[in-house]
Amino acid sequence: MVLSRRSFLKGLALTTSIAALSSLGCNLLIPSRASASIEKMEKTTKVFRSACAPNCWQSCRLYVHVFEDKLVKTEMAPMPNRRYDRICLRGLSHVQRVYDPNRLKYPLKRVGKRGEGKWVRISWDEAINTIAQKLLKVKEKYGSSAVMFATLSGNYGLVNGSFCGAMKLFANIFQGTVVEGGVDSALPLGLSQVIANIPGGSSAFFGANEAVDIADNTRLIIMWGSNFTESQIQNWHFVADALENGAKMVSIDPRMSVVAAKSDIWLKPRPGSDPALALSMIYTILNEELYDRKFVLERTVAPFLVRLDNGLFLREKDIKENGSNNYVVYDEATDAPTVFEKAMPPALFGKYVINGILCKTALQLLWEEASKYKPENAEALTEVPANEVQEVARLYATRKPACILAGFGVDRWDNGYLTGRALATLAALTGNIGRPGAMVGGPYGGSALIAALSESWRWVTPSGTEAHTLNPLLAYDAIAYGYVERYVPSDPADPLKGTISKDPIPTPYTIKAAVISCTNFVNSYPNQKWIEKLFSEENLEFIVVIEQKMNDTAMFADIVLPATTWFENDDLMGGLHPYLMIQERAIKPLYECKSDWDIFKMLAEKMGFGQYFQGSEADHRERILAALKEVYGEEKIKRFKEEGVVRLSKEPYIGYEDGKYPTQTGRLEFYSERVILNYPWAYPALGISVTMGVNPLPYFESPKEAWVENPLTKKYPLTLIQQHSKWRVHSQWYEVPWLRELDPEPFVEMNPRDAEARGIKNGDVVNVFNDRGWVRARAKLNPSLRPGLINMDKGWQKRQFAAGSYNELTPAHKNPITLNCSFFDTLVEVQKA
Amino acid sequence: MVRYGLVIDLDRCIGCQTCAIACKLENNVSLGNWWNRVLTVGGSMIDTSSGSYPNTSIFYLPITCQHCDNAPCVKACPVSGTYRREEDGTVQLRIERCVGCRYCMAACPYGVRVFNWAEPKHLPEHGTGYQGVVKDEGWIIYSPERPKGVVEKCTLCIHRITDGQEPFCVAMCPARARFFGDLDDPNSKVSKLVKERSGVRLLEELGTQPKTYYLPPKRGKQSFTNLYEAFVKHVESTLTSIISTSSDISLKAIASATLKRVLQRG
Repeated sequence: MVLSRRSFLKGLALTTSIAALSSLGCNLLIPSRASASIEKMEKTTKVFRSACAPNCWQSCRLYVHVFEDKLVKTEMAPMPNRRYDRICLRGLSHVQRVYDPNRLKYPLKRVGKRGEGKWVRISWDEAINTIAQKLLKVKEKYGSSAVMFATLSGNYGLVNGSFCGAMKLFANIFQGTVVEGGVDSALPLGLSQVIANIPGGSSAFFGANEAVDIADNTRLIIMWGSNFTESQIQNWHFVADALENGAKMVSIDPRMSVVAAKSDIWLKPRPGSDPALALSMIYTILNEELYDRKFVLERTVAPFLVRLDNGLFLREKDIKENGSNNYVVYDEATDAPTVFEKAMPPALFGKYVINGILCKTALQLLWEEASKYKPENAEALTEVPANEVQEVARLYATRKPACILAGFGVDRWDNGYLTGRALATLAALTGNIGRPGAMVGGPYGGSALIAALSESWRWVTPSGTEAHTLNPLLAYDAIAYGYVERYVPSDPADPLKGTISKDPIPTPYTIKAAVISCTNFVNSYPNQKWIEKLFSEENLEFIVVIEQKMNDTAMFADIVLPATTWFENDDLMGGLHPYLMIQERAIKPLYECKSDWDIFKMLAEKMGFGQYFQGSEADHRERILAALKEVYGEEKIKRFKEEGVVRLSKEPYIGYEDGKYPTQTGRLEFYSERVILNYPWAYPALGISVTMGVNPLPYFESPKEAWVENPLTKKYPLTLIQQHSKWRVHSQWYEVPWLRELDPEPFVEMNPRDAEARGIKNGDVVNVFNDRGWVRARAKLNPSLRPGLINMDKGWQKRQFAAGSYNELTPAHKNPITLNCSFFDTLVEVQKA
Repeated sequence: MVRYGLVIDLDRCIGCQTCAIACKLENNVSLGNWWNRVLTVGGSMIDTSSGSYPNTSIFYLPITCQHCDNAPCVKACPVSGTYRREEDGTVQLRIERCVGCRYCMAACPYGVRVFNWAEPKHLPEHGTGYQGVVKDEGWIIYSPERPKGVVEKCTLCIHRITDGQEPFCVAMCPARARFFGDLDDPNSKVSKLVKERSGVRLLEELGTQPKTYYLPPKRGKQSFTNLYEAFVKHVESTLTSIISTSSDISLKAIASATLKRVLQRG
């Protein structure tokens, strides 16, 4: 008997007993007594150890409760340092993703036109046979690199996931093309230009201090373009602790985010003007002599003399016969140039003629560049009042140690890397780096993920062959036009001779088939209509998508393979925190779903290289642990096996505390002899020499599209950004009922003044459009938005909009330095539908 | 005596809704129902601010059963369903006794009780969270069943707190903004926070003696009293819906009286 209203009415007569709760399965209840009056009847659940694996950076360790082979609960699990215990609304709603009725359950074959959504169920045998045949055919016809293996960040698992999982292994053996990245890379590149600009560097964003350090040590937090309380919920408590410990907080954001509302000071720059704002602060710090003189002398290129004839640093050999390659400074005591080590002390500013070569110190050049952005002048660009800029600059230089927690609100712009360069320069001038409580970037130093990935070559290239790696924006061109634009070095032996040209040149590259896993490619990259064209039959002969749901990307597949969720897998993952965590299989794969490991193992066996996919996921996990043991030692791996979690990095982790920076000069380079590039195929090892005319300093360049001087603003006056909201992680969790009860549909968030000017009221259906595409959704009026700025939360699928899709509007600009998608550099207009 | 209560720090709270979802998960709450909510104190829609750019303001107010020492719902219940547990001061419901009259909902000035109008819907269908039943002196006061025709609310996770655990929403709060403990123990964390941070309660003037304390925000532009706008709006809509949808004159009368008291704060 299941409880019904009637049975409860009977309860009035005091007749209902525990037996009424039949659906609980009373025979499984274990009675216990908690107090005199309380009695409990409990069922025993099994608890497994796992971790939440999407790309929100928070990497929460989970306990997974299973009853009768069914997942009933996920919850926060303890970390070795309990301060890292973490969870969020998404980590608590996994049950609804695992048992989502719309999960893909069986392999499907397309029967209608591509993208039309007509499918028939097929067997795994048929699916694997077809895929193997098609891939071999494309390989024979165009070469193996014509098969792109697209992935991004949908799964952090090391066995099954994006970064070094089964598909990468397969792609390396197959020697295909791995397409990944193109996001989250402009700001990190800019920071790395100053802090870590040699090959293997480029890591400054994720190499700063660990999160707990903020709580204990920092006295000032600058949230720069960071929607911290929305997109980094799990680290907020560290910031809250810091504030309770007396730290002050500044937010720099055109939107009044919740974290801005909680800040002591809120600066509201014009969107995309951040490099100019940072230069204004640099000017103020130099002008008021607030820089850390000792730090600047010892740790930065500030005193190095720069030749004005070619932009390179002056070396001893330039001024002395048989001189060394050592950098030259100007010794104030002897009034003469000398190598740095001998100067007592070197001049920080000044212009000198040395052996007929006109030189200035690097700091002098920075000062001159920053002088173009005096706060009172930069106001025209940034719309931030001069006194507010000065106040924040003074605070940053004096209230030490200080952190700049930079967010990707400033990354998704064509000029995103310039913000990174300027922010790292601010840290370099004030010494706010490499000390407890002082850092610039994200609070993710000591990450176990990055530690594991740096060793992944040990298990991801078993055949000794490797796939090419291609940026997605370059892949767009390869698919559409059969070429990619790449930099070609004239003399790899001497990078300072620069590249063939300052700009990349087209080189033939063919892509004819796609295997896609752990990325919702069609939904998550810019210019969705263009992607849909790229994914048409005339461009790609074959597409296979491994997915949990029929999302925007799976819709374009010829064959869809149903993937397991994280709780159906055996895996392990490193967090963007210091802990490596086990993921135990808690439930058997549902329906006919398979893990990436099992899928690529079947495919490898079919194609004749099954020897590289020996055993199960758990066996592969053992291989990864064996490889990590070589680096981190037996003790750590033993502890991992016992406890399911272990810290890999030193504790505490303070990024760059040894004062060693992986740069050309070994110093913080706000002046660089060459500008690094982001991706393989663009030769990051070389970079572009300053002799080719690139700017060696942080500088301001306006955004490519969404900028006041662009005539297009007359037609499309509004700038569209995409908040990474708490409701999804990128496009995951898009159809979870509990979350949809609070966030039921996509909205176009806009300031009431912009709405009023267009006759739009709260809840009205509106069209958002530009020359690239359009989308239809309801308006949500919110005065937190700066007039002129509108927001659509990221991650909704196309069919969740009344029409169109939000990424139809975004540009696929290619900034040749960053090759980073500039999602926010987007102009649109809004009209009532 | 032990008097369990909650303390919520409104400076640490960021409106992430983790507590609200945690509650749904742990207590197998039906789709569409919320025992634990986070109200936006700002504009009319969730996560929007009030004011005019750049002079805008937003913060959040989590609300659930306040476990009043002098609970109007207990007095309103005609069948001794809802009661205050002497052992710990929590307000519980003897599920089997509930007749679905909703008088408790009409009497509650916090709008935190929910009614199962229909057979419950769950995803996953096999249910979620705690797998057990709790009885107090033989009466079921927690069960994962969510039967039609019954009023429900936060039990302060009676199944957890009687085992020495914190309520799930407290244990899961990523912001460390929620605290649970014995308000009668002057050395408990909750008592100290209330004292040191001048904790305040909602509608204290009604004499309900609620046991949820809020630490008023020092950050942001709004004073604590401003949060009443959002809170009263929520209570008003809950009570108005009872008044407008019921044909039971007594129920309407109780709800109207409660609404009047809430609006007049006394």
